[in-house]
Amino acid sequence: MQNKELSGRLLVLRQPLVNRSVPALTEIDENTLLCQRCQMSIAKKIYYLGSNTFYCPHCLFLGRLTNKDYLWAVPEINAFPKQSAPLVWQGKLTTQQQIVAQKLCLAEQNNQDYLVWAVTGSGKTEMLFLVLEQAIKKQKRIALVAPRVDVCTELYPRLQQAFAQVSIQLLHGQGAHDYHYTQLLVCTVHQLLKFRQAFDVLILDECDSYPYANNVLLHRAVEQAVKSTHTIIYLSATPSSEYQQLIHKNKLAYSILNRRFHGKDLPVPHFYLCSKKNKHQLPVKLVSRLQNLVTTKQRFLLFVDRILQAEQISQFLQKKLPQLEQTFVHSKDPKRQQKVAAFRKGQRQALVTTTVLERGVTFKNIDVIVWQADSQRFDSQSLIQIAGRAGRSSEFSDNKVSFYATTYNKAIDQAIKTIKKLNHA
Amino acid sequence: MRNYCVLCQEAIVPQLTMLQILGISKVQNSSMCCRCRQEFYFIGDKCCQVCGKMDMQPICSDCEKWQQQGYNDYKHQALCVYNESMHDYFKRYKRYGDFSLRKAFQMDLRKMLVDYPEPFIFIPSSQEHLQQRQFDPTVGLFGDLINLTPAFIKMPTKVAQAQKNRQQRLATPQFLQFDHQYNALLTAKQITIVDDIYTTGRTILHAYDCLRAAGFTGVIRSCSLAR
Ligand SMILES: [Zn+2]
Ligand SMILES: [Zn+2]
Ligand SMILES: [Zn+2]
Repeated sequence: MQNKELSGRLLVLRQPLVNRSVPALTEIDENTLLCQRCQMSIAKKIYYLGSNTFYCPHCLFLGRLTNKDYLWAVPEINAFPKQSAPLVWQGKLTTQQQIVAQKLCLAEQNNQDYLVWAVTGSGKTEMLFLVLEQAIKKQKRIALVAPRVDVCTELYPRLQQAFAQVSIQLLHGQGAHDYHYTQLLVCTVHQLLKFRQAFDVLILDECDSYPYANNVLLHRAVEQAVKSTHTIIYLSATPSSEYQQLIHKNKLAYSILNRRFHGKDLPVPHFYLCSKKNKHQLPVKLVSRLQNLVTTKQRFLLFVDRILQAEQISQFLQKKLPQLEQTFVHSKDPKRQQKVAAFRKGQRQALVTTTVLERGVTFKNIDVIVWQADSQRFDSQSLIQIAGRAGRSSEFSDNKVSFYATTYNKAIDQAIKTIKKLNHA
Repeated sequence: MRNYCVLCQEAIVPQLTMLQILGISKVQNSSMCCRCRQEFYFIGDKCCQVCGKMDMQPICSDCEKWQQQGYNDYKHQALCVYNESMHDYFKRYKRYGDFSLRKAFQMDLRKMLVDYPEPFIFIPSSQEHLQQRQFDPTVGLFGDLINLTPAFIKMPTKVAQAQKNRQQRLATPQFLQFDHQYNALLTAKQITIVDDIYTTGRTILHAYDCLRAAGFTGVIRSCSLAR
């Protein structure tokens, strides 16, 4: 009898297990090895540790694998209790949500993949409840995955509440978790490399975002973690060309959820052309706009394109507009979580931020301004996400979104056009 | 042949000076792309005159304490500040064990070491770490650039230096021993000690004590990647 705790796991062994394990790194040719955990290739002349010991640099964060190790993919046995009514959520879906929820149930029934194109703030989590319930009743194993930790930690308590009787756990690389076998798993995409053919249903949130987008390793992680018969549900506010092409070729069914749960339009960004200026400063046009916001006490996020910029612009504002209470945040900022939490509680009027706050975070009643919106760091998906920070609650659905730049480029044009299209769809 | 950044795998576009284009001066092959390099803070002149700690002039509080304890004639040089990016770098290099990252700073370390004569002695890792990682991080960083002599023996300690707080580090008793097979080194005019990270100076000064106890009377200098 197999221990269910190990069910669906990919285990690393120091010794081979007859008929079960495979070598962790296998030879492609004389100079190259293939990692059986992450399916990436390894140049022997770079990644060695000494005589005849080679390692995989791609999945190091899960513990270093060398050519002396073995992997054992333990078969998934779906040892879950029978449940007749696992969903205890009492809320109601909008008509639009209801239609999508039913489409998802059908996709699960037929073991098909499905994409939900849901604008920011449309309530996509609630829309998943029906399909999750259906799969739980069938004793299926389910993973809810997102590229970034923040999204996972926001998702976890909501699912825990909605499915109070179902075993569930959260798994990500930050902080120690004791793994245990559960029917629902909320984790980062990276963590999927610890599983092999384990999940019947996999829900991939923010499938268009960093670091999942264009990352071969993470794509393989998803492919390997699901069973051969499965349903993958992709969620995105801004599907990349990868998915648009699949849709175009009729290889992926999809639905659009273009209304926010409060039913009002997405704020359409306004574009302001500025003349070229010193990049450590803001143009006069923008400064006087900020001055205005100070007077009206409207809180806002100011997006800039890089970490150094965030700090410099924050310093610049300190001098230029000392009455404006603001600070900077970026991915390398050790106080980031505290600053964001304080801002959410209403402290400070503004944050100067990089794309780190582009998605996943929700603030009430916030105007959004992007400086140097024509920077290469902002593609159209990123600009749409940023614009989506505004107008999240129904009382303040008309928050302003403004793009300031020295040129009007394709990304800006596409972002504005897409938002208009979604509003009229 | 194309060069790829050891940290992010992006192709490196060499930025050549006029002299290099004309073939008058040699092209330096960097192992890091410009974007990754920008994340690190290279220590300039504005630093502690003794240990190289940034923005502490003329001498930092750590060194002041050591001088009060009688360490008046040692001097340390570090290449970079131990900032968030350096922390990430060491996490990948030492904790995850990505041996290929040893090359990231080689060009810069080579330049820094030009001013130091042989012999070089390195601070070794513990047996336990060596077994886990299957390489010595300090040897990885410096071993391709200079001849390193394994003249220090690390005696077993209970807690690794990296897991201690500042107070505990400063109070760590001697854990290095000079290997007397290398007594011939003790006649040199100068000995240079190399280590990966300089935190409080405790480790380097244990090495210093070791050399003095073994009878070395010459100049002692030390170098590290980070401070
Ligand atoms: Zn791998
Ligand atoms: Zn790089
Ligand atoms: Zn000092």
